[in-house]
Amino acid sequence: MNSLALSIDGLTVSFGAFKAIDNLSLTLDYGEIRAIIGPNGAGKTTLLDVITGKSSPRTGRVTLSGAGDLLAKSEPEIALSGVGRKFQKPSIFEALTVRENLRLATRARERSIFGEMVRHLEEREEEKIDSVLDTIDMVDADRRRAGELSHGQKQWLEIGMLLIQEPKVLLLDEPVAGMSDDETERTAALVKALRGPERALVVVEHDMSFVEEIADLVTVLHEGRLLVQGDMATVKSDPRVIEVYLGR
Amino acid sequence: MFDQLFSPPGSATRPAPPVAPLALLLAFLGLASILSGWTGIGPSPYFLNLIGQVAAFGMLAISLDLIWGYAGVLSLGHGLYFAIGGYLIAMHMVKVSYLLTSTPPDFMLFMGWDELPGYYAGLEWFPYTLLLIITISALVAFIFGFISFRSRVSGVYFAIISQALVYVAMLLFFRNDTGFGGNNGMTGFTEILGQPLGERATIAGLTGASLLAAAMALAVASRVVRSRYGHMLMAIRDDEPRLRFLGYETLWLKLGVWTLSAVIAAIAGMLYVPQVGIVNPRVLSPELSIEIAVWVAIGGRGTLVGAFLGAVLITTAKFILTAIAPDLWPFILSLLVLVVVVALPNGLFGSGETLRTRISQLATRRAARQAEGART
Repeated sequence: MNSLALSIDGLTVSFGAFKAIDNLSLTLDYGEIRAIIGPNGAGKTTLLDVITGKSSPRTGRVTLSGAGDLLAKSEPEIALSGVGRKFQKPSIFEALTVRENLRLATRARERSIFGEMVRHLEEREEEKIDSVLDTIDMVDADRRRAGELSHGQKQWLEIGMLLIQEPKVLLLDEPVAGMSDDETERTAALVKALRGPERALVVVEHDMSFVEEIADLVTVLHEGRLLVQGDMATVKSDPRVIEVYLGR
Repeated sequence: MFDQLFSPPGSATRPAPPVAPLALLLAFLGLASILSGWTGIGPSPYFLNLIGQVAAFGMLAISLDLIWGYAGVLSLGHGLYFAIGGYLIAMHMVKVSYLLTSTPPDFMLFMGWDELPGYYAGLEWFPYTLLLIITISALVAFIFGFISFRSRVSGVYFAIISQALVYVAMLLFFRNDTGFGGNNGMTGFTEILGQPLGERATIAGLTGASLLAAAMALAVASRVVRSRYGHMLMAIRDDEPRLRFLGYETLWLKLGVWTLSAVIAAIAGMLYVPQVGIVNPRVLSPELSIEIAVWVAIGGRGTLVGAFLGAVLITTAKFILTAIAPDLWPFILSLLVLVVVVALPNGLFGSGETLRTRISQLATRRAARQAEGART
């Protein structure tokens, strides 16, 4: 019933002799929230780098439904074809206001510099910004400089910028790192609210209780390979997972 | 330590000083200067000339602020584009006087050349010269920018490469066999657009043109930075990868403003050289290029107004102090740079809120200490 959103096939990424990702194959379906976990160096962030065009693999294919092979595209092209990525450290434009940040995210196609200079947002786009502000619970903050926001708000703003783009695949790299318990809880609620039939969510995270709360399916990576995949209960009780996390 | 050079100026919470009043004032002064040239009433030619030179430097500072203050790209080689404008207008004036006197300038006679080299063809025509100034500066900037930005060279590395480029150009222009006057440069200009350069009316006209051009540069730059494109530039300064991953090819965005900045700098050079009456490879020395960055840093990055006023302040101080105490000038300048970097990272004209915030921070801390004292 679920349709395929993203498929990764036989992916190998190496840095010199080191294989960060080793012949990895994965699929993501629309409507799911997938957590990718694994010890440090398992290749989680490298995987996100390859999907978004930041790193190039040695072999393999990454296919987005309706957009074809992502590996042939540049970073901005991949973003425009529907892959949104939230960075680990909050990445927002500090000198601009919250609304101005969100306005910059309303890019749906290529435009010339002169086109951008005279462009005013359509009413539809401003309405979309309002609704995203509502989703990330920052309606009152829309005129504030992004640089003044708290750590949690910065993270939500960045997620908001991605939501404006209506991505088919939304990748969140450690969204709750450095957050207070309260902020983590609100982020979990936000991530769950982002689930939709036209979107696949991927969360890379170390916080296991957060993962347990949000994820439908957990993929465990270890040394660049897929170790185990299943729901959190299965994964938690798998002896191989316990071994890589706790060591021998 | 270097981060401060590229990060957004300070907290960036304070709105930039408004550009319109300064642009209007400059336009008014420009028209007044032209009027003063026609009527013969007004300040001395020496004073007018000084204002004109300072205005050209102010325009140069605006060009640097556009890329450094907004897009976060620090160029320590902007003298290159200034020199392109300066050398081409000098070639124009040399060609015009060659046609009048049929004698090549001294620097060519010394080389044993009895006529101007081929690339002086057509330069007696001012619109062609202006066209060349714009296209050559834009082309050089585009090529250099394309190579650097495409290879993701940024920050300190870009600054160093831009400086190396201006240094290479200086070495090239020091050569006597290039037809650009070698180390002595070009001088002895007699007229521009048919007007004798020594006359007050011409001097006032050049001053007026410089003031009007500076006003226009301010207006254009301010239009650019307040547009959606301007927001993209600030986004590049704050977090370029984030903007790329939102679907923007930042290469073209940076190249656009970089090229615009180079053209503004070249026009400033075109206005400057007829006013000082000489152009030589010293405009290509790293010192001038660094000084431009100092004007912008002292005035306040990312404000346009601050950059212009910084240039006015420092060049005026330099005119005065190098006359009174030439030995002290480097020390005074270095001291100013230190004070600005340490105490006023937003620059003199961009520091309003920072100072106020600092004072209020101090006040809060004091109140907290007092409260603490009262409790114990």
